[in-house]
Amino acid sequence: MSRSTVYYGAVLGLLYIVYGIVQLYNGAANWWLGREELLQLGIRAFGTYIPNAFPDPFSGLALVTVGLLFLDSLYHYARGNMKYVGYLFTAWLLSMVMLTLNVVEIVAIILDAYYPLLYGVEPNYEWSLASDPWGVAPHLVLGLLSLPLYFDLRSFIRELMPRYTKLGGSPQGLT
Amino acid sequence: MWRGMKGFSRGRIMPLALLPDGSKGTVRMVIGGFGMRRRLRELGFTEGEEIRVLKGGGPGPVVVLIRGSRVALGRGVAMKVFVEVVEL
Amino acid sequence: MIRVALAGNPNVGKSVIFNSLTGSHQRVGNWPGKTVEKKEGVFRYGGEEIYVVDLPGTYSLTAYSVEELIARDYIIKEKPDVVVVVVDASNLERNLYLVLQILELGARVVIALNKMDLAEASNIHIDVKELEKLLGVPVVPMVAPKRVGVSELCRKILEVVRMSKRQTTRGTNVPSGDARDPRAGKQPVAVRYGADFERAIAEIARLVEGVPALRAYNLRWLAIKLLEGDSEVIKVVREAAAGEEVLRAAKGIRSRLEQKYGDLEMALIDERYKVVKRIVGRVVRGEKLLTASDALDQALLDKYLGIPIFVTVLWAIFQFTFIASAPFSDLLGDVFAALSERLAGITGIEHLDYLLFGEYGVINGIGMILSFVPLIMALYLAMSLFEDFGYMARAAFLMDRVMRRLGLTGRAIIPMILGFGCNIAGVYSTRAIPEERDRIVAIVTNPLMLCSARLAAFSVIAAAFWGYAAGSVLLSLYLLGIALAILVALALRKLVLRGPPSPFVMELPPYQMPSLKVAVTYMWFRGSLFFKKAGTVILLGLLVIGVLASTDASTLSFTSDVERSLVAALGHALKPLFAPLGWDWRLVVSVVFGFVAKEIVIGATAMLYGVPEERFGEFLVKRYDPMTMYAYMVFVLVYIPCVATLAAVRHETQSWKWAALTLAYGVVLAYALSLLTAAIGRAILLGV
Repeated sequence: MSRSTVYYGAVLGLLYIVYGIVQLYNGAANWWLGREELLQLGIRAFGTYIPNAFPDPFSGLALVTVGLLFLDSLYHYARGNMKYVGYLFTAWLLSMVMLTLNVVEIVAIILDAYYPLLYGVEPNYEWSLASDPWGVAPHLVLGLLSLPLYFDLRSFIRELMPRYTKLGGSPQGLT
Repeated sequence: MWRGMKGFSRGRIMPLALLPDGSKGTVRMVIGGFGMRRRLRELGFTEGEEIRVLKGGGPGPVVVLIRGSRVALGRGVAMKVFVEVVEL
Repeated sequence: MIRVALAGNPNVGKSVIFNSLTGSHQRVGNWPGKTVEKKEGVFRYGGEEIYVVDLPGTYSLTAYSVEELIARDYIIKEKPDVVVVVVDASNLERNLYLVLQILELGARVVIALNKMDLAEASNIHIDVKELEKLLGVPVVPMVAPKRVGVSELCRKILEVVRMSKRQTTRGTNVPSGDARDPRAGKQPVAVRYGADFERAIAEIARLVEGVPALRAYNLRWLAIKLLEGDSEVIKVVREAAAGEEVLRAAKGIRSRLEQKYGDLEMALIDERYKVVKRIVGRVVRGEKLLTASDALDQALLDKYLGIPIFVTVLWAIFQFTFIASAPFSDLLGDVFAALSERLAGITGIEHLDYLLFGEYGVINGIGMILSFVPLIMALYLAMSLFEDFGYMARAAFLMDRVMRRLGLTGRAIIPMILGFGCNIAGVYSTRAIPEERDRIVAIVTNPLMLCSARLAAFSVIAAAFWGYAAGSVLLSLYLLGIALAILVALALRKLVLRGPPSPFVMELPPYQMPSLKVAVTYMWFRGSLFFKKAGTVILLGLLVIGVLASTDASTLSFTSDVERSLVAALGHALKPLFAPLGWDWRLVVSVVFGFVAKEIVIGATAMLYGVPEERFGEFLVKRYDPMTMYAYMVFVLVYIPCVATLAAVRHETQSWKWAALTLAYGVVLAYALSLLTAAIGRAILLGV
């Protein structure tokens, strides 16, 4: 694993923590204090923010955890401890999980809005990025930014989950 | 604490629960109830068998490598497995 | 028909092999009288029909655990034509221990050497030919998830069966090691223990041979078990004619040996491992290095981040479950509602029509149940992926320390998680908990996990009364459920199911790439199982309610006015019981509905009030004060699980006693807490 990978991961880690705290704050403000005004650290686009730090304290905690894992990886790397790879991989894996979650969410909301079209009825509502509760959340943005780490983690992944092709056994299955 | 104890501990017999990460040893004795002793033995914790601590020390369960498989033991159980220290 | 049994350690990939062989031609049930799952199936190969039983995964075959006894009894009594022992190639040494025990039984064995890919990645090379020679049985290298080696396995099974038919029948009394090698001409290396032990075994075997009733068993195995002092075998021998003498003589042989070797059961375990070590020494090259799995474990089991990671994973699973299933649930619900509307009035018989196509009729009921299936499936999909990956074992490990102090065990965490989706799923998944007492505690406390059905009802109420803070209110209910579960668990452990907590010993399987195919198969299978089992019960309940709600209390004829129905009569009758809680008869009835299925509570209650379901929230706000409704939610959370869950509890505990207890504590706690909440609420209101 190259040093730049670990540093890149650490930067991502910081971003995760920042957005995680923002979501935590928003979650607390919105859920408990009923505030409508949310803190957003993003670009305004399509009527909403990218990334959209929607109010949800648990989501915030999750983001913070991933961030801490990335930072921990740097910490162990700096101390020359080989276990930094495990931390980096875990952080990456969780960020991929979050990325998937965000994508699934967007698709699901779209499906939920437009499925009546399947039987020729008016859609439930108009979907737009702004009306989506998650939208393009930090999970998506940071997850995409984490994707490139795959290339350096590839060897580790292969070791973890090998592809066995040597056995000549026929994979054709049974009658 | 461990650095000073390294030379002192080699060859001594200690409960598994007290060994730090990365320690290597040989299983010497398992005390406690018959059921638990038998079960551990069946899983390969026999006298003279090599054992390696993957995650230990501190509070909480202990993970060891024995006979090629990873076994997690509760702290109470790990306190009852006595190991001759080969390497800390 | 050829009969095959699949045996092996847990986590070796037995199920994957079983599924590869049987595909959809399988059936899941229970071993008679036990709560251990039994999987059986059939498939065709080489013109033969082959029946497979998936025996419970075990590390050994002693008389000490239910699973081991089941596996052992099946092999001895049912005498399958072949026992396929699935062995983890990356863990050969410990796996061979069970292999030796099965060979002792004299069974006809084929070894499925699975996870060859992992072994190779760990730098381990296995000399398959040498292993075959040493054990005297065929060994088939496999990588089950990729179907590598499956056809070879089937070939070997047929080969062994055909060989054995040609062998001169000395019956199953042929002691292992003396059996002719299936590959004609070669003599296998016998699996032999130390000289002293072999002598003792031979002596006892000779004694046993003299007893006609025992000829059905493998003599060598009987001898070994008598030497060990196996309670089940002793029982069997005692019951045979002249059995007592055999036991006495055996005891003499045992004490002689004991003087030299100490406890013979332990000594024999050591002997077996000595043989294993010898075999491994000649068969395995390369030492297992610390692998990527260990590096990963460093992070996942990190002292500080371990639990936050677990919480994150849980959060992700829940989000996925609810989000991904929502559109499908909505779609299914809509489709059946529309169907029901279209078919309304078709039969012409008013009462029947109402029951079938009415708003709470059968069609809508099916739709409602179906609409929960996507949720169950999504949950199982997510859980399967993490379980397959190997993470769930670590989760159980992480949570164990904490959960022990709360009267539960680490392994109870998965049933609890599943319980949040649906209590039925949670209760059935408690099978994974080995210790009976822990399992019962997990089963009985599972209904306190706020299931998705209750969530659906509570969301409506919470959103109406507390708007933005609704999330917190729901969270408080979740936490209340968990807190109560802990209390009940502790109470059970201290008062009823007393005994030392079971020692925590668990194997951590290496991580592997989760198979999407396995996950999807599992999710579909469990989802449809849910639909069939829970669905039947719920539908029946709905029918009963439907009948009661549409039958006039005085005339017993059809009525569309619910106020005159039997249901209303019931409500009024029970009302005094709930007066201190401030409920009117309709809320009382809603609670009865909840017994059938929590999903219908909101809709059915809305119907009782004559309010459309969408406006029910605002209606409630006008009618009741927040504290009363909170107390109502507390009651619904705690009182009793739906009838299908109760049936699951009875089924999994194999007794009515525990089901009754669940019901009892539920009702008592629910009423008490609800009363307390209502009282506190009133005090606050008055105080303020």
